[in-house]
Amino acid sequence: MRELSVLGLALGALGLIALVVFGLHDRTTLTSPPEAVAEEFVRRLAAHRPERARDELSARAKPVYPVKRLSAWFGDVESVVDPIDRIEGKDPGMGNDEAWATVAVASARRKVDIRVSLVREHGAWRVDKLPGPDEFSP
Amino acid sequence: MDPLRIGIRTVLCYLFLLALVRVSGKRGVRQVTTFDFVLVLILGDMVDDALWAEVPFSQFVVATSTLVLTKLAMTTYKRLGVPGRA
Repeated sequence: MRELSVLGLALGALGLIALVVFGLHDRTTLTSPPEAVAEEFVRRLAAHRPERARDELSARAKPVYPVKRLSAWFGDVESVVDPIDRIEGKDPGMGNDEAWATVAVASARRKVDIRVSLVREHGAWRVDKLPGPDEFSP
Repeated sequence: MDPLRIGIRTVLCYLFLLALVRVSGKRGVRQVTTFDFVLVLILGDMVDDALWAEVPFSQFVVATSTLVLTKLAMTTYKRLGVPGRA
């Protein structure tokens, strides 16, 4: 009986979340905001888990960034900032179904800001475009 | 991160966990076992992820509910008796 109550509570909560996200178009409270998604994406790359990082990519970006290309892209970041001490998502901006955020990647001596574009897919933000190495701002 | 949204998520986490604990039947710390304490630590980490929006709230709900459901199912299984044991 208690199991059914917990199941009912969970389903009710999920229904409410769906209502808020899809019905009221919540984009930052019950879903991860763009800067959190971008930060998590970079954290997974920094942990050398590009397969997991790809989960954060949009459907359009997945074929563009296979595992090897993602690893190479983050290799460019690490060539500037290594060892990485801090990763922080910041400065989010939003259009309708598009957003952007900056991820600051820093070591004790150097720091780069990576500007990431995101799109909204199925109620969640996904990384859509990554800057080239020449677009990293110090 | 926007403090208002952190506040909203904190209140929602609180309310959901309160409801979850109530319907799961725990009423006092006298009933808490060592493994319950381990579960509380795991729940604490899940709350951390939800508060800082590292995961969508739906994932928090699914993960915490699954954890509590598994715990309840194990308790029921033990109460009914393990087959093959005297």
